[in-house]
Amino acid sequence: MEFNIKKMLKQNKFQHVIHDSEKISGTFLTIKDADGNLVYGNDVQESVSQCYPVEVNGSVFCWIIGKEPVGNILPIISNLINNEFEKRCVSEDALEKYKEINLLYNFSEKISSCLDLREVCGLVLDEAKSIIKCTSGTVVLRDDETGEFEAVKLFRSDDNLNALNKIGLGIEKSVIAKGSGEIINDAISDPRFDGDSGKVKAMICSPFKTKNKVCGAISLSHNAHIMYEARDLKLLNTLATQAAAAIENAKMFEDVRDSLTETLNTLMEAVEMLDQGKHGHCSRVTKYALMLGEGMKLSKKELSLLKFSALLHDIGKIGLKPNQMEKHPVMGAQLLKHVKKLKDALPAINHHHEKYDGTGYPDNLRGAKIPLGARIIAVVDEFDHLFTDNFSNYRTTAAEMRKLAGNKLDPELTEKFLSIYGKHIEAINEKIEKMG
Amino acid sequence: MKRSKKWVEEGVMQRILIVDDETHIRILLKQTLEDFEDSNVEILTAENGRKAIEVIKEKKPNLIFLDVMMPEMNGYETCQKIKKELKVNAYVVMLTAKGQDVDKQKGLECGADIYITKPFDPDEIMELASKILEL
Repeated sequence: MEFNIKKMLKQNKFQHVIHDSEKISGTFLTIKDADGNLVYGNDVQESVSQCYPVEVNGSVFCWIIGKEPVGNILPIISNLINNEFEKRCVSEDALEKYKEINLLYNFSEKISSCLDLREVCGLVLDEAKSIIKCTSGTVVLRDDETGEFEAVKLFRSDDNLNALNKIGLGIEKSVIAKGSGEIINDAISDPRFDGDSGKVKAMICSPFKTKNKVCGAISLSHNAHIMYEARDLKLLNTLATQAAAAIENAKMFEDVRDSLTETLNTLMEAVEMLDQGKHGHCSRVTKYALMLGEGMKLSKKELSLLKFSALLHDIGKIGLKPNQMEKHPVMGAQLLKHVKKLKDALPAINHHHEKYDGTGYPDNLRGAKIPLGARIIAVVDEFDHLFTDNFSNYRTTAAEMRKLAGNKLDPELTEKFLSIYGKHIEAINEKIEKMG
Repeated sequence: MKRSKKWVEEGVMQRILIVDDETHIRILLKQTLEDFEDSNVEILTAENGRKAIEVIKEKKPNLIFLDVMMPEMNGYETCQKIKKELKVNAYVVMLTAKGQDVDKQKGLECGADIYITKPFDPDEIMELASKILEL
């Protein structure tokens, strides 16, 4: 803890005491710090004056130098200095607690709104290493299906992450099995430790525990012989508990999302079974639509909706006779209208057969009045028909597409998609040449 | 934070004023900000609104931390006086334990430049002071 004597002596209360003492004793005071530097008064020859040490916490803090009467003032000044020191200790402690509390408040807010698994792990590691001193850290998760452990996030302040030394997870696994956090200030002597003994001297580790399950752990370590204390563990446990809840949320969210995707894929295959020869059409259209969407820098949410619309754009064909196919966009929207999650994807499905010049169906919408998703699907749907069904080469297909730009298809989107797909083809050709 | 407004005047010594009736808050805030003393910034304290106004008139601080719940003259009244009556060019941070939205609204209406709740975050205070004092 820093305790600057010069600054302290500048305070009014010290100035008053020193001046009054000088008046009363009729002498001048000189004060030097523990290293002998002058911090108050004029420099005097130490042989003609007395040097009185002021002790704080068992060691000499400063010297008060002056003629003999100074000895009487010494206790007063010493008391003042010691009080000041005590006050400072208390306030430093309080300020540190203020910092911790605020960090925890901010962390709570951030992590509770996080649904991405890896992001949660990154967040808890960043927060932990900013509060607790360490030179490396690891977040470990256990795979629910395989039971295997994986180091999901790493932090190494003194290593090139690419040239990773052996990542030992011995302590982490033990903490996960036990279900409670631990401090190991001499990691090398611990039989469970199997990491790099050159880089780890002290370790602290907390499990991600919810209800009855432990799904992983976070560990921090230091390459110097420091001592982690109980309050460090309390802090790490607090962060780990919150992270555990967020991880569980993230996993559930992923499960739900995966189930939804699997169900939709099944529906999509059902549609393709109706149209023999169109096998793979819906998945290709989805792939192309996402390529275009990403090229247009659509948001995550917009891309997700686009994906659903593209996967299911032809679903209306189920339940229609061959001569009723013109109804399939409207039918598709009708079929899906009860699925709340897909509500925002319906316009794209409903209107994917509109034409840019307004001569399409069902509503003769024109230009920008056609929902963006529908215009995107129209472009990539057409592309797939021309490219796959007619076995054209890319250049011919692109030329055919350009003929339709402006009347059937949105001209801007058409160009954009062709440029993106063109680059994609070039990249593939390059790879083939390299292999050849 | 409005970037266009400067709170630092060329050639004028910078001063921070801490106004709070609670001794421990004055001590903690002063300790949080004490490194600025090395950059020739003077840190002053006052224990209520009335004394704060006296200090402001005499020393003209350019950064003021102002508590709300104080006897004699509370933070709202003090802020009004500083900003609307005396029209002092100082950045006023209302630092308070009062947490309701309506309290914050009132603070901003009285002219506070920013409203921060207790317990304050020492790092946030340092960052804010660095920005305002341009240090």
